[in-house]
Amino acid sequence: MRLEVKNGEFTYGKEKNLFEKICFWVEKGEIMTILGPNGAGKTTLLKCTTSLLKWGKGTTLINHQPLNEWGAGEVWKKMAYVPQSSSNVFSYTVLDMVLMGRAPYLNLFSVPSEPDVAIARSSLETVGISYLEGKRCSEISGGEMQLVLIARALTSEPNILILDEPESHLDFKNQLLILEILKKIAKRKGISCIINTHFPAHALQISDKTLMLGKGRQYLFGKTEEVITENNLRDFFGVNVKILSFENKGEMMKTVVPLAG
Amino acid sequence: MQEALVQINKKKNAKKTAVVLVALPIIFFFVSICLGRYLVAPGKVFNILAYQVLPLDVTWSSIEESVVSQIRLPRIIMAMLVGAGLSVSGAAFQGLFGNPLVSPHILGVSAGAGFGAALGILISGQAVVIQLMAISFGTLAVVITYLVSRMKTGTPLFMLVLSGMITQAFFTALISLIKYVADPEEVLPTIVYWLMGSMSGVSYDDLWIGAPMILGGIIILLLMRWRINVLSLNEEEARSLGIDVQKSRWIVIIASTLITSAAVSLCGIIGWVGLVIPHIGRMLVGPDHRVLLPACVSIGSFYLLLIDDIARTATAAEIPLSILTAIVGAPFFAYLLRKTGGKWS
Repeated sequence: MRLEVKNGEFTYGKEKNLFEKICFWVEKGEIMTILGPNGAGKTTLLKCTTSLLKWGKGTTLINHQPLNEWGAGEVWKKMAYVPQSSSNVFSYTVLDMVLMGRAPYLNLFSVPSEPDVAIARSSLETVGISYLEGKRCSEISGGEMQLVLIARALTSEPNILILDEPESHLDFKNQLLILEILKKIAKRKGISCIINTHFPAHALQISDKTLMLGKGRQYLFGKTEEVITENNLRDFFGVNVKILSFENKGEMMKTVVPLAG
Repeated sequence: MQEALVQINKKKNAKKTAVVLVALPIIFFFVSICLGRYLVAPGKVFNILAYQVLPLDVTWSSIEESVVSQIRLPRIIMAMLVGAGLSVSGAAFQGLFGNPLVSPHILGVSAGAGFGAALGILISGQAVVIQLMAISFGTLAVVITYLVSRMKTGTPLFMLVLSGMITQAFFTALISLIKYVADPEEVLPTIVYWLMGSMSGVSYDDLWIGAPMILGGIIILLLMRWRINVLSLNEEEARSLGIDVQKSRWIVIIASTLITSAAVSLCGIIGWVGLVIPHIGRMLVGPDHRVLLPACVSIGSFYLLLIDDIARTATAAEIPLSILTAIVGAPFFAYLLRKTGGKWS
């Protein structure tokens, strides 16, 4: 499914504009990453895109139709949001947590039925954590919790997945795991992904498109390898970097190294 | 392999717990109806109960019949209903606020209903008036809480809690005012006694207004039991799961207000039940509200029935209920707190 943001603007307080006429789009199965320094408004941009926050001006469109025309109930069947973390005093089991992804399909007085549970189980399988099913959310690691949240989002059977820094607080191995899973979801299931990240290297590794946000309302949007360049990173992050290419098992890979001074 | 065994064991245990939870209130219902200062043999009690629906030969005196079916039965029904109602609405509120230290009284409904009842006793003293006043002012208190907490973009939970505290303080002061002006010989003791909670002298006539409200509230909350799981997530997460958080939240609050104000209108302010029972429920069946809410119906009805049995049989004079619920409930809660270290499963 195609998701597009047209002329998005967000104002907080009286006059402070965070974005000005921001435009971007993803097509079916594409991965788009959003990069930018702290305070540039990455999370705000994601929330506006999903309608969790209201755009000051501009709209989000799914398949060329504005979100408000779809209606909140329909929107959340098409689009799922994965928050940075989820804390809850009640430690539900992993399966119960993932099952909550069925909420867009169930009315006020409904309880999930067997088919819903089957969908939840298959999402657990997709992200490879079926073995956690009966565990309590308080007993699992941060990396596992992030996978649970992704599985919950998949349980809504969305066409578009929106993730807020899914790999930020994770170790090397788990970061890689999450990136691989997102790639798999996008390519195999044709789910479009929009991902906030702090790591230009991750963007180079998985995304087709990149939006780079700056502090002064300027932004760049385009193909990842065209947006993530040494010059752009210096301009937007205020850091000199070197982008290195190397070959691994016949595949070209890139990494980004920040340079002091 | 071991995982699978653990799963099977868990399922077996879950079944056992379910059987106990269904059987407990039923068994206790029969035990309670045999209990009392006027001795009626259990065999006779069962016959009298059966006589209500079956044509049996009368082998008991009319006093025995009236003790069982006119005095004990309505009282037991009320204790079970109120216990179940307060527990379910407590569990629903704890889920809604994502906070296990919340009780059904948090939005000021009990203080409002208590004030209504006290005012009713002051100006009339008739049961119907007291009940209607309690229900009206209980509802009014929640409406005030809502108006104070309302903001342009919906109501954040912390605003709701703080406004609830304000409303509660306000109506508690009004209750004191009524006590202050009430006739200390006649009216004041009635008010004080009534506010401490009691089920003595209940008849079927008393149940007509409150009981359907409590029952209705319980049914609404039970129907919403899975939705409450989603509501217990933080607001943004719940919204991103496609539900109308504000609307769902207010339906829970309205159902809970029905229950609590009706409970106060029937038997005064009974503390601790709505706070403690959901915790016991969570220890037994886990935090999933799909199971927790029905479990609270069972445990709550059992618990208040037990408390009321103690209230009416322990001494010659009736002991007010909220004294007992706290004397039994507070140490138990302390025990739970020590045992779980403040972490709630």
